[in-house]
Amino acid sequence: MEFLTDTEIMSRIQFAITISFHYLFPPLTIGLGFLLVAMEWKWLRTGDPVWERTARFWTSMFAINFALGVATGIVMEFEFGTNWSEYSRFVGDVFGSMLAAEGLWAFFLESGFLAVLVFGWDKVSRRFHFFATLMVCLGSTFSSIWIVMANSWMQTPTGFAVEPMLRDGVPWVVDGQPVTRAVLTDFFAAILNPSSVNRITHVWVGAATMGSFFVLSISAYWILRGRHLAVATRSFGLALVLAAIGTVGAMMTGDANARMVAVHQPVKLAAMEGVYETSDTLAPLTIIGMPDDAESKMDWEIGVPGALSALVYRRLHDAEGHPLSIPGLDLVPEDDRPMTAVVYACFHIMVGCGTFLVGVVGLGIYHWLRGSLWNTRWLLLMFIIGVFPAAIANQTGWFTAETGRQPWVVHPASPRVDPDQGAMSPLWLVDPKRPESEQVRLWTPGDPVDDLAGWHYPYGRRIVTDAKGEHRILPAGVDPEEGASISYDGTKSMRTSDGFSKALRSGAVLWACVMFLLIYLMLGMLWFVVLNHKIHKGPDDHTPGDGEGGLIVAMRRALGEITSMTGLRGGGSK
Amino acid sequence: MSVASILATFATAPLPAAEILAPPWMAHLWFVLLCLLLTGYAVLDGFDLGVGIIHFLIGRNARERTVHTNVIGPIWDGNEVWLVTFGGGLFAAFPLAYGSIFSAFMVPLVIVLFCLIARATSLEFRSKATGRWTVLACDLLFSVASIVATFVLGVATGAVMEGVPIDPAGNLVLPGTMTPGGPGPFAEITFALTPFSVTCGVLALTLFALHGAMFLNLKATGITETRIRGAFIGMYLAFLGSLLMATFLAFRDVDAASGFTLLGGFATLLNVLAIVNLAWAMRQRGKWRCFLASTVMVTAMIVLFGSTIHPNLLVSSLDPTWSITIQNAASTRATLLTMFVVVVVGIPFVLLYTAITYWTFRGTVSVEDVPEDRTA
Ligand code: HDD
Ligand code: HEM
Ligand code: HEM
Repeated sequence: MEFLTDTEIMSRIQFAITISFHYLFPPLTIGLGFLLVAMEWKWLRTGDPVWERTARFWTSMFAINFALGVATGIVMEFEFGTNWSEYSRFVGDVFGSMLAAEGLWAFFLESGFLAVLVFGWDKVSRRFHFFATLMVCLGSTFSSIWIVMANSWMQTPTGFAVEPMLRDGVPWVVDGQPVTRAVLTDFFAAILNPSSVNRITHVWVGAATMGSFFVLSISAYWILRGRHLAVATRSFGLALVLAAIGTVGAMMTGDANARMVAVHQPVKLAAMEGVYETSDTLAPLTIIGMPDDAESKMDWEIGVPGALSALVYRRLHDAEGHPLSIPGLDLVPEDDRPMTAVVYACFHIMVGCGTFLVGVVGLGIYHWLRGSLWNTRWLLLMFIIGVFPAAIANQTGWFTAETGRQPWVVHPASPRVDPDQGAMSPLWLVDPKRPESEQVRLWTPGDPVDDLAGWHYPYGRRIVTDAKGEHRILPAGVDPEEGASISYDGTKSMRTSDGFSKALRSGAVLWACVMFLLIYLMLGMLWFVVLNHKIHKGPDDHTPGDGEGGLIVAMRRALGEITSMTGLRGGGSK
Repeated sequence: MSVASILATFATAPLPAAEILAPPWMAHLWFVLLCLLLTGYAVLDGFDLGVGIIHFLIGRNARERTVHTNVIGPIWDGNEVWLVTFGGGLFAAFPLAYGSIFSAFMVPLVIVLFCLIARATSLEFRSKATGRWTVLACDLLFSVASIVATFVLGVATGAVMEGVPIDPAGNLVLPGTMTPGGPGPFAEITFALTPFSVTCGVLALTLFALHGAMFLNLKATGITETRIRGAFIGMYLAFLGSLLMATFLAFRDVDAASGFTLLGGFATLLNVLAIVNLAWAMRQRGKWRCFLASTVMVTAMIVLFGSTIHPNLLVSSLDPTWSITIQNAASTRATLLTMFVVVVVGIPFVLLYTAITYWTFRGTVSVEDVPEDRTA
């Protein structure tokens, strides 16, 4: 248990606990937001009271999850300062503004429109209410854009320079070292860094999956019980469509993410797939296996031969007929490797959950089209439990991305970003479909592009540095002892071990973890109680509420479940 | 980053070009903006924390206390938005100060966050609870959490005014670090406890209690109103006492407080007028005037706080040259400008939200509205 006394590890654990809890709610509200817009649209078009009840019920569900997202988000906001102060000081100029922008986008949506959405049912016109719903949906989607861009910048930073800090006009020196910080040089390059678009789209389909399975799960439960059928079947139908988009989209964007990772964070990809050794042959796709970090090898490995190479490169051999391989963890020093077992396990759990969900949704659509869905009880049961794999996939996906980033907190920039530093990294991927200006290639000072013998992939080849300090690709099969390695340029990055707060003692962080676990236990109980109450009461039940004034009750009251203004006058209680 | 590589890079690198650095006025502007956000938070969350502080003082039984929770229930969430904006703004505008202040005050901050969430949860649970003891437990949690959060916020504000032991890199040096035994087990808390900061904690409690009472006075009728009138004199005197004590200690212990600034003088004058006006308005039963007076009092306190620490964000009590000033901590010009636009566009929306919520829940609540069986 010696990690308990390590401030860095404890801070990482604290961050993992708090962000994982926060991330239970945002994907749910984002996904549910999409559905609310669809429901209200239906209501607006048809004027059907069933759609109204459907929209009202899920809006009240939205409110609870939103409230919990806010409560847990406040914790996140301060954690960068409390536990990661060195990191905050270093990146504040770039990262701080994206984070602040997220906060404000969250307010844009909370501002006005959320209030209209929840409180305004009987106060504003249907059209305006629909508009408010649309704005809230857009708002939560936007707020995810900012935060994910901030995170992507940590993974693949661009658009910044590292400058010495000044204090009263002269360089600030502490203990003989100049203090530096990252400064924004190109805002758009920073937010549109190489991984942000890939990551945001994947986060959205993840959210769509989460939100739709939340609705599917509750609706399926009602249908199995034969209750609230009108609302349940309609909700189910809409959610099934979104779930299909979400799960299939997760596969597609997930694949794009993996290819992006292969270019920009080759070490992360090696950990995700458990590739310890760079081989000279095609890389297999491991289906079953357990990484063993101590021995640097995979145990019980069963894989599909060549499949990983095929997935990453979309072909097996380069133009000269050499097999395309995947760089392994042996190309980096042991200190620079992430915890392979965690990255590998989380990645495979996510993909496993995704595969399961695609299967369930596929069967659901099949039975729906045949008209046998409502009678296929086992399938409805699968939909009920499907909400868990959806949440787990979202969580383990982030664990893959974040633990795979270690030991860096700001990952070294890809050489693609700054060709002047090309010599720093030997891993350049050549993509024939990209224009030349965007090529990722092995660049050697003075080497004309054409000398690289057309467009081909340097993977599977050994890269050596010759006496003149230039890099060359060696054909496959050459002795690996010749200095092959992945060397990132560390000057524009930050290691996690440099990022945590030096003022903290591990005991304080341990205490904070315990406090947060306690509070999350309370929040979790509250969530459970409220949800349970609502699911059992359902959308059709109009008995007055309890007549008291918490926020959630206030929202319910405004939703018309309690009739009088304060919810008390004349309102009976149970 | 390796030390050698940093040094190698900067041995030859020129100093940052003047155009990327923010001009001094921009840093001042951001200081003012952050003070505004803090004021927004103190005024709004101030009264809902305040209602929690006097929960048991004013509400003698569960039914009376239900009036308080009904008043606070729909609005606490929106009030905390201001705290979030403040945090985000500090991070973006003064990253150096953000890192130093929050890492130094990590333990107090965790306590505050714990209390804020505990309050929210207890309110929600209370609205579901039916048993007599469950309701009482929720009431206790709600009140204690409000008291602790307010006190800790007050202490932290006092400690920031007085200065904390930070080293040249801006990191807290726990008291006792140099002694053989090392810092004591509670050093993360005790470093902030001085006569002045503790008095500030008490001052915050009494101020928010008054402010909360004035808000409740506005929103509640019947017995609640009577009880507030009954407790007013006591709360008023407690506030005056702690204010005088804090003023005395400020002149004794806080270096920056002895210098006169125009803004500080103005805030003091405003404060005095508001305090007098509060008692007067209470006599004349001017509910809105009372609330306005307590709002001005809270605002004046934040202005005093800001004018005392300016131009520093965090004073080092070890060596004044190690203090973090607004100029040294400011982000670059591009960032401050972008953020300025974002905030200026965003604030009206936050205000709009606040207005809509308060409008929706306008009107008053009284004990007669609370069903009998809730008194269980
Ligand atoms: C319901 C949610 C969900 C589902 C079904 C999937 N994912 Fe995912 N995945 C996420 C939710 C998610 C996420 C939580 O949203 C992550 C975390 C970081 C990110 O950008 O998205 C993520 C990250 C993530 C990453 C890491 C990106 C990085 O390191 O920066 C990869 C490579 C994939 N995913 C690939 C896949 C593949 C091949 C899937 C095939 C089924 C898949 N994901 C299903
Ligand atoms: C370390 C990272 C994060 C921080 C510091 C953070 C911060 C916050 C804060 C302070 C709030 C409350 C805002 C308010 O008061 O209105 C919030 C809510 C929210 N956050 Fe996060 N957040 C983080 C990660 C994420 C991620 C990864 C996503 C989505 C992909 C996300 C999406 C949202 C959304 C949609 C809300 C609105 C509330 C809700 O829908 O539940 N956040 N976050
Ligand atoms: C929302 C889902 C997210 C989850 C579940 C998540 C998960 C994690 C985990 C597990 C760690 C600990 C890393 C380790 O132990 O190796 C971590 C660290 C961290 N994450 Fe995330 N993360 C999420 C999103 C974000 C976002 C959006 C940001 C930035 C805006 C972010 C910034 C960080 C930072 C600064 C650390 C600490 C440094 C480190 O340990 O690498 N995370 N996160």
